[in-house]
Amino acid sequence: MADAGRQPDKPQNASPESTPEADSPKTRRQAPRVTPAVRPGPIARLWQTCCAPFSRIKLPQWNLRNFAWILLGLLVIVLLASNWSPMRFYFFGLWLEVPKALSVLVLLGAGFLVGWFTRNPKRPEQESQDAPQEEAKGDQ
Amino acid sequence: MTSSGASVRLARTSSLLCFMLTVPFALILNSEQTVLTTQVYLDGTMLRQVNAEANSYFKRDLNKWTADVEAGSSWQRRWQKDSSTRSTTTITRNFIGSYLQPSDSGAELRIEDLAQNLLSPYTTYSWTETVSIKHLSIANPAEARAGGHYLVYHVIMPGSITDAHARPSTGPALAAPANIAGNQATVMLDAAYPEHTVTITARRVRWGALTIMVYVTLFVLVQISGVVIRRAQSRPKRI
Repeated sequence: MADAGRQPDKPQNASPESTPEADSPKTRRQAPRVTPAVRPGPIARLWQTCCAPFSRIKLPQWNLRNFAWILLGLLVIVLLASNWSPMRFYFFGLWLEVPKALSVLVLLGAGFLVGWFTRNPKRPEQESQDAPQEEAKGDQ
Repeated sequence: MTSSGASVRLARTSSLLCFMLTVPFALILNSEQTVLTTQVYLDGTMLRQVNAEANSYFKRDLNKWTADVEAGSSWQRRWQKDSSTRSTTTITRNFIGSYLQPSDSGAELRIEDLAQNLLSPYTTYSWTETVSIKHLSIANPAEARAGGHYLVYHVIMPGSITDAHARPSTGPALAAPANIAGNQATVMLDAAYPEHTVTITARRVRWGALTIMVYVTLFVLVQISGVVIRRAQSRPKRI
């Protein structure tokens, strides 16, 4: 009974990776099935079901880089909030009243979009011509 | 923007605005109620609005009198509402101003923010303005006193108001009581006196600066505790 779960004897020098059986996908899939002694209750199962989609989410590490990005975001939010006072645009007798921060954002976005659409992207041939020149400059 | 001492004065050398508030006495006398509202925003921008309601008989004059109110800039927008049941006309005018004049013009907004007072958790807003009521004849003050005519001066500040009062420049040294409700204050200015000085002080918690400070402190603490824990774990243990 005690030997029932034991694997057949292998040569001691041979590593498990070297055997063809270990590499085959069949053996990989056959993971040992262990039934827990205590069966989870309905609440625990419900909790596991709820948590399953979130278990794959990996939260970003709070390192210096992420800290700086969040700090920049906070500063921008504070800047926008403190400049949320209204301002008026006048155009041919029509008034448009919008928050100052929003108008700045819209103008910046419009400028970005104009730049994006009117940019002149480099052709792949041109890029390949430029690359050796840049390398040569770097060597100097 | 120039800073003077511990406070900043929002000013522009070639400002287009002049915040000396002048109200014609005829407007206060002939309208049922004249309300002047000033809303101050976080960055010092102001929305000023005059609202007057009078009998429809004065419709044309009311339009002129409200236009004659000098509140710092030319009025930008105008609304008119005629009530047929009460036979009254209500006219509202407003404008948005972005700059303020120095105190010699009769109005001043002082903002004590992070740059002026680093240690305080509050930003303080102090608004002082001289309201002038333009009497047309010498008899007007007596007329106003007899009839009990007042100008309703309403202010909305960006933070909760801590102090608000109005004092006539001439006459009794008794300050008019202000009705304060959160970030709003209302003062009734007696039209019998030609000049009043209104002073409003408000303060607001610096939520933005406090949030950033807490965030940075938390990060520093987490990093230090991480280093301490790693060192403790990597220390060789005695056997």
